[in-house]
Amino acid sequence: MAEKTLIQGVREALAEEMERDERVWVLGEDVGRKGGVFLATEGLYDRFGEARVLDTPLAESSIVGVAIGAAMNGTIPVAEIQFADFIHPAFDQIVSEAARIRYRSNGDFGCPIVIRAPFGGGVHGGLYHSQSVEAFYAHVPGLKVVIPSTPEDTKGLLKSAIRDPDPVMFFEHKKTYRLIKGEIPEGDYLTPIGKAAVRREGDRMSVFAWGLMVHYCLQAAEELERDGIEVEVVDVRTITPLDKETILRSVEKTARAMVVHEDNLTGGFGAEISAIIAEEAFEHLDAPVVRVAAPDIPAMPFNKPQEDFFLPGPERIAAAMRKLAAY
Amino acid sequence: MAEEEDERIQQEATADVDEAVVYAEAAASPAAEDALLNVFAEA
Repeated sequence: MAEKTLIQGVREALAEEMERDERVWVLGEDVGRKGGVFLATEGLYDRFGEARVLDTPLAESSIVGVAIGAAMNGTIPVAEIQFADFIHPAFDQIVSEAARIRYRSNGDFGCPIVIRAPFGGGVHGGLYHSQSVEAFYAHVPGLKVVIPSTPEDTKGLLKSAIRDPDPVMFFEHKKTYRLIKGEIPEGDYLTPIGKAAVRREGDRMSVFAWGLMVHYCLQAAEELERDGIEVEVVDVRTITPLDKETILRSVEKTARAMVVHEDNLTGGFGAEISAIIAEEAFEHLDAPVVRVAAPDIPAMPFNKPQEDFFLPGPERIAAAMRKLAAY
Repeated sequence: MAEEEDERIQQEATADVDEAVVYAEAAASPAAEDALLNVFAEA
């Protein structure tokens, strides 16, 4: 198999699902003729036409609102929010409407939409093109929150999201789009939502991460291996539903746990994982659960020194791993 | 709209609401634990 990029995984999933099921269509800003600002939808307009690849106004609330209405009328919309930073105008549609339609109708209606959004920093995107927003949506019952970190998972998870009967928030780390390469199996396959993946086996500590941070944690783990410290790295992959079983099994094996994310520390999803470990695996722990995250400042700064200060990198993660190993 | 038509629509709507209220008040309350259902399709 040839190596492909993560963005190719997005593109292949969309094309295959649109080919497989004519109810699937995409909408968003510049997704049509331009093929999306990151070219995730490149080629879909020519292949499937304007009716199924719809350019929208710059109005995120409308993009999601239209998608919800279309989903309730029997189609399967995949809405692209150009940057996760711009998703906030659609928060009400997502939280008050999409997440609650099944519940408020006592199961009579569903809302099978996928909302894709590139998130995260490290690309000098500054305050408005770098945010991590997963914790906002992980807090909302009725939503699934998926964050792939490899090209293979991107395709398999996006196909699963499109076939899911409930609303799925699908966050793609923009720095991984072309940085991360890997094999993508040919043809139709699904990666299950709700299953974490152990990317590296280890016995000294368990590290949980998603998106770009998975790769930084793997780099840090390689560094610690030179000192004889074996770190287990778990790619959480789906924030909700969370694969607690894999998380707890890993902690029971290693007795030390760390969560790494680039969202800011306070109220980040690392707090939830830490709480679960504290509640359900306390007797297995030899050290307090550690969180490595961005500082509690309003946004990622633009200039490089402060961007580096904000974003956890392999060196900072490795230092935290060493400290935890020595506890 | 004629006044008679307006009156008829209002009477029909009031009757529908009254009927729904009677039905709801006569129905058993849902089980508390059923509040956990229908969050997701598989629930």
